[in-house]
Amino acid sequence: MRPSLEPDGDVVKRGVPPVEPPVDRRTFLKGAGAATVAASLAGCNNPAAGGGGNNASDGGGGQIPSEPLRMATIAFTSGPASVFGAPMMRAARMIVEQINDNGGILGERTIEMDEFDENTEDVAQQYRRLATQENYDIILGYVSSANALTVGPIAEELEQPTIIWDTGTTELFDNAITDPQYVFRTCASSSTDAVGAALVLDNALSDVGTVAGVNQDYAYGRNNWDLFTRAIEAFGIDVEVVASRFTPFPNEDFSSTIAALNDSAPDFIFSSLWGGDLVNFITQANDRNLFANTLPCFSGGTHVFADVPDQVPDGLLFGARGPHFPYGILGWNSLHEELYAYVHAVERAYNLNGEYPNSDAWATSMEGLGFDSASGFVDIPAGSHNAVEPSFWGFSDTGGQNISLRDPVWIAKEQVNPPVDKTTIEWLDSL
Amino acid sequence: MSQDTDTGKRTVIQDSLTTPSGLAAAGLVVLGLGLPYLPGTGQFEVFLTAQILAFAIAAVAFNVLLGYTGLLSFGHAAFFGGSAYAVGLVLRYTEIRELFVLLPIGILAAAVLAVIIGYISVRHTEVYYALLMLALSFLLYVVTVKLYTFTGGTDGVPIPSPTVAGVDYVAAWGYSGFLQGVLYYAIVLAFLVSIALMWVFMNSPFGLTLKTIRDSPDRARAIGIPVVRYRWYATIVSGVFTGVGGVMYALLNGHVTPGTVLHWSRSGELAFMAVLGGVGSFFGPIAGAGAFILLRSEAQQLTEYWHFVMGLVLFLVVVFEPAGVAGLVKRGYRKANELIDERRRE
Repeated sequence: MRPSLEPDGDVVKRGVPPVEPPVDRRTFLKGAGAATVAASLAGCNNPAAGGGGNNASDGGGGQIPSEPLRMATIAFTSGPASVFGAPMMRAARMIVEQINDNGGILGERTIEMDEFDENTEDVAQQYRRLATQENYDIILGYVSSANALTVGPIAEELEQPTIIWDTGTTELFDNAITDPQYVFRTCASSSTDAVGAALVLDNALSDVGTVAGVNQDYAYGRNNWDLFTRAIEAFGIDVEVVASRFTPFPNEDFSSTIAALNDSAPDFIFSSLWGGDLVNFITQANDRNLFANTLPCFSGGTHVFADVPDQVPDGLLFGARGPHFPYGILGWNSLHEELYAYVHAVERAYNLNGEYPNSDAWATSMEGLGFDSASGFVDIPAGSHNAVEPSFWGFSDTGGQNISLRDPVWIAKEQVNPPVDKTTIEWLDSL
Repeated sequence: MSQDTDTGKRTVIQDSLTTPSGLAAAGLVVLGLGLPYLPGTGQFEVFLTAQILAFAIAAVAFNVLLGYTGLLSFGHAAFFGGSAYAVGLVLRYTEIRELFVLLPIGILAAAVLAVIIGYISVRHTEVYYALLMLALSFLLYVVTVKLYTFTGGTDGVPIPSPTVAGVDYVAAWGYSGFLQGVLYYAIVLAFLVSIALMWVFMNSPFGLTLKTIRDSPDRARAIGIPVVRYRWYATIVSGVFTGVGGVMYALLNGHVTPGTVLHWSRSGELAFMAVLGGVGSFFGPIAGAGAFILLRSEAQQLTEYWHFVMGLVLFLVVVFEPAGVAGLVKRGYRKANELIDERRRE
């Protein structure tokens, strides 16, 4: 028998993370100081209600630049990771159009968006060209962690406002940029997924005794497995890790991995597989009955629901990389958060200071930004450059027209992310 | 050294400087040195030129094997990336931040790799040499990817800006000042010194020996040249200078990953640069590196199908101008001379 999910209700809660945060928001506003309160009052409109920007008459009064804002967006529009990049680019186009239809930033300044493929041999050269030669006001993008880690320090050197939109690596702000000024990340880090999975294991799966891992043999897979096993140790979860498999990336044949997993027969599998690898693994493992007595948990796989719905069996545990799944696919969610974070930060700074912000004022405004998005409260804690999000899990439900998540559970963001003054590893070690 | 040899050398240098190509080369060096101060030059142009120079060192070094020794290597990424990673790992695990310490460490790493990989590979020639080099360099790539906790896996290692002679120019002048005022000149200097040394090597009895081996290994053996050993030496010389290029690339790029410096496709790019510039010419690969980087940069701006553009260019070069940019220049030069002669006769 497969282990069943019985959430404790305290750490792991049943249901969907609330779009309107219950207590969190007030606590957040109080803790974030006056600037955030004022800004949140002024700049906190819900993009879901339509209307991208505030009217200039809300506050401010300074000159708003008449030329459009130049925005470069970068994601994989070709290659294996285009499963993330292509929908993100489409979502970006749609959201920019929506903002421009409402007059643009502050109701006046339209956005001119140019798209670039991340699938390039020389990401540093591309980034430098966009920042220093083509002088984009804001650069948004990056799916690959290696690319984000490459451009992050360059962005800081060049003092170029940059928002990372999908990369999960905890290395970004833990090691690569320890004192960020101009670089932000508006999606949750891998900590949300890996620590979240460990907490589900600890607080909702009491009958699990053995655990295995299947992750891609590159930094993302290694980073996730490393965080997951550290979290098991940190929380003192009473399980035995019986196998940790790293499969080549990309990979078509999972037979040896599945045979090894069938031999060790774990109760629970943690896997950060994505894209074609995930589909191949699920299909091949399902054919060979691996999931009969094992509960697999795919920390970042919900994108396959839309891509290959016929290949997803019913009743597997999926993580949604943040709380947004019920409101749309990952690409859409990462994008509206990121774009609106930028727009809201500009509007907030304008309304507070009375003038259109330069890079420094924008960066100050981004810190401690909080707003209701179409799919939940977006929270960049004061003193941090990284959004924190709740962890959200559920079972694949193939019963409806589209695959959805059945019996969802969620964990509050404070429990799956380090506090502002600690790196992820420092935080896990201190627990 | 006798007076005669000195005078002879001086004459050779004077002669080569007064030829049109010598003057052009001297002009290019002056242009290169003055680049950051030219009106209209921004940070990006300086960065791009520095990148071309870093690759040019590696491409010329690659051609020491392909053009001079007749060995096609598909493993130069090991030397390029090996030195870059040596620098990255030293920066990651020690407090060393000094360029004049990092550079020798990088070169030493490339040399050690070249000694080992070369020793094994030179036992064979042609496709077997190419495949052995490929296999051994790929081994380094895979190990680097696998050792995630030590090397950072596919995420790579950051290369923070070094101090130069103990001075932290980034803190003093900002990054832009460091790039345009210090790092760029360090790369230009490394380029000039490397090219000069390789030129001397290739025009010495050592270079002539390599050419003899390239043209006929059997005859070379018959006149008493230890062919295998000289191929090994050539691999080491080539590897060491490829390593200089790797260190410079790493410092410029600010981050290295196995995918960008150790993957076999990096070796392929060096081969592409050499072919594009012209394997028959010593200076050809410099033009090849420049053409390759500029072409790719433009193609990547134009289309996400830029691989197609690069493939097409390689195809056209191999089919229509196997001597590469150097061949084109030579042909143009010859045509111009003929035209001038014709005019004179008229």
